[in-house]
Amino acid sequence: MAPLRTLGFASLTPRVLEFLERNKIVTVGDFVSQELDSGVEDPEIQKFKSELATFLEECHGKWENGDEMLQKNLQAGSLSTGFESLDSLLKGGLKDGTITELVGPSSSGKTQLCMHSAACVAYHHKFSVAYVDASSSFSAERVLQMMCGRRCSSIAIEDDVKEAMRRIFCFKVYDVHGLLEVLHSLYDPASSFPGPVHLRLVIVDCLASVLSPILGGNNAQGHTLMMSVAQILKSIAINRNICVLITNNTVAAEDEELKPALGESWKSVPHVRLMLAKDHDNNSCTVTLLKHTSLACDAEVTFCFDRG
Amino acid sequence: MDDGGSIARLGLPPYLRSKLLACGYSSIADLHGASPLDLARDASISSDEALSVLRRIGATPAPIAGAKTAWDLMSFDRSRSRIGTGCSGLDRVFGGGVASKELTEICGAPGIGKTQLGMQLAINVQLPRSLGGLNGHAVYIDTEGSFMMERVLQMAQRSALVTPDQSVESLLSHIFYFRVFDSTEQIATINSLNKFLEEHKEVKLLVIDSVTFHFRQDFHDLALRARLLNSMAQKLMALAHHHELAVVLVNQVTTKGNGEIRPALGESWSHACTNRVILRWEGGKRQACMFKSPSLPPAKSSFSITTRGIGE
Repeated sequence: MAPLRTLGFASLTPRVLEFLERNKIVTVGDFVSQELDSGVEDPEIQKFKSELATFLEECHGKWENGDEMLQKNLQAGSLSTGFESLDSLLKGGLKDGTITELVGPSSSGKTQLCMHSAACVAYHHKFSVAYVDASSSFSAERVLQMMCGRRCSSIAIEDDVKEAMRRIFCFKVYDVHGLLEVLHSLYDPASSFPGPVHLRLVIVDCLASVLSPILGGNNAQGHTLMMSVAQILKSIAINRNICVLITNNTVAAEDEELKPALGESWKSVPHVRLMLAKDHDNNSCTVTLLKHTSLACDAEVTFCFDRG
Repeated sequence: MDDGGSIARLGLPPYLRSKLLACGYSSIADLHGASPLDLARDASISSDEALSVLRRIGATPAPIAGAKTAWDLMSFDRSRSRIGTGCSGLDRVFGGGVASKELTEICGAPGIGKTQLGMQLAINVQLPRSLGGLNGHAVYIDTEGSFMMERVLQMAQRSALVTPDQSVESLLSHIFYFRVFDSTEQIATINSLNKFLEEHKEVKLLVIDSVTFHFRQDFHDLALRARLLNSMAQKLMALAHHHELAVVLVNQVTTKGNGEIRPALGESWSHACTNRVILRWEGGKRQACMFKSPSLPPAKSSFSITTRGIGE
């Protein structure tokens, strides 16, 4: 919140300014949080208060009632992950306006599932995908294999596959500041996205790689930056009506169990949390529903990534 | 309304940040349109400091313009060469050889051949593309003192037979060797690599043998260790990407409670590498097994270590 002075109100006369300075009110936040007893009968201050009140009315979003929210929810589209069993577990797939988190130990299939969803959305749904790769694990060759199975290892690649590959935009980030830059430009409608765009899926793989080096220890800003990331992800999902898919690592907990990284504060950020486990002997991946805003948890499905 | 994020994004020193927060500037949108004079007066900072704050906003170009599509990346992937290991089965496990712009981890028990493989790659990267090399130089960071000059000489002599225009001296002189003695030195060396690589643009391979050694003993604060290793991994990824290097990290193994062997440095390090290859003994032969890769299926192959280097 910027200082009140910069808002450029006509009612901000020198007398009002002096009054504010006397009461040590600098920002809008200070003004609304203070109980002003003295000086409120002054007509100039009253005029200023009403102008500020109108300004604040325009700033906050409009009120919605439960029925409007339900209609919105029922109309929200969903994107398929490419696996029928997983889509039916999620009652349709990845829902618009939600953040879905994939948690799992190393090599459990999180990146594979992200690439599979990107391939499915770009090829079948024909929407654009923004893939933010924070762990250097995106493989375009693998995405191609997922789009067209065995036939793509040979020479000719069909035009529709080429078009689909051109709908997936990859960004490489190596630290939290790079990640915030990319996410803010994805959110900002003024930034020009190359090519014809209908961005419906944003994938961030893997959030823990850029967030864990800054959490804990002497870094006082680590937690703030993590919550900034949470805020921009939620803005992208809810205000732009986009599906957000993120991955998180696991860390060792007591008695050899594994728990999701990034701690307790991160738990409330995703709307849906899925735990992945890989069975290396028969190459199958089991997905368990850990958290969902409207479905019962602990349901699980198993599927195989086809090895192309 | 996008407020551009909190001012924590700008990476300001704590005293500047708290002064800005105290006078009401808490997000980047608040700083837009503020003149240096106003900012200096409100926050009681000097005009130089105000200018430096405002300069940090909008300093980087919009990343959207530089986005590459999956199609562009695939065309690049298909055109890049990989570094051959000298054993065709091992090359198959690696998907044709060790790839550049990726972090490849090689773990195994002592004596299985991790250092041998690292040294062989440092020689092979210098070969011409037709022979499985990249015509590039190598950087070898030795943390354990296991780099053996005599052995590298043997490998170089075998290579020099195949490539007459690359003498043994030239092969040896293009391996840049760093010896580090503790974890701080290791981190400092990696931090200074960016500058080194700017000056030596032919370097195409970085081997760190082993990345584990200094982080296993004397590190009581495991949370700090995980943070340091994670940030080291991110720096290595950035180096691999900007300088188009293949990065090979050698890791040791540790035993779990029930006697099972697993790679050292714990769960958090497992996520750091792009590819993970585990070397083990099976039936009297050395086996390599691709354990984690975004694009390659799990594959196994046996290999051997001869007087001339890595072989079938």
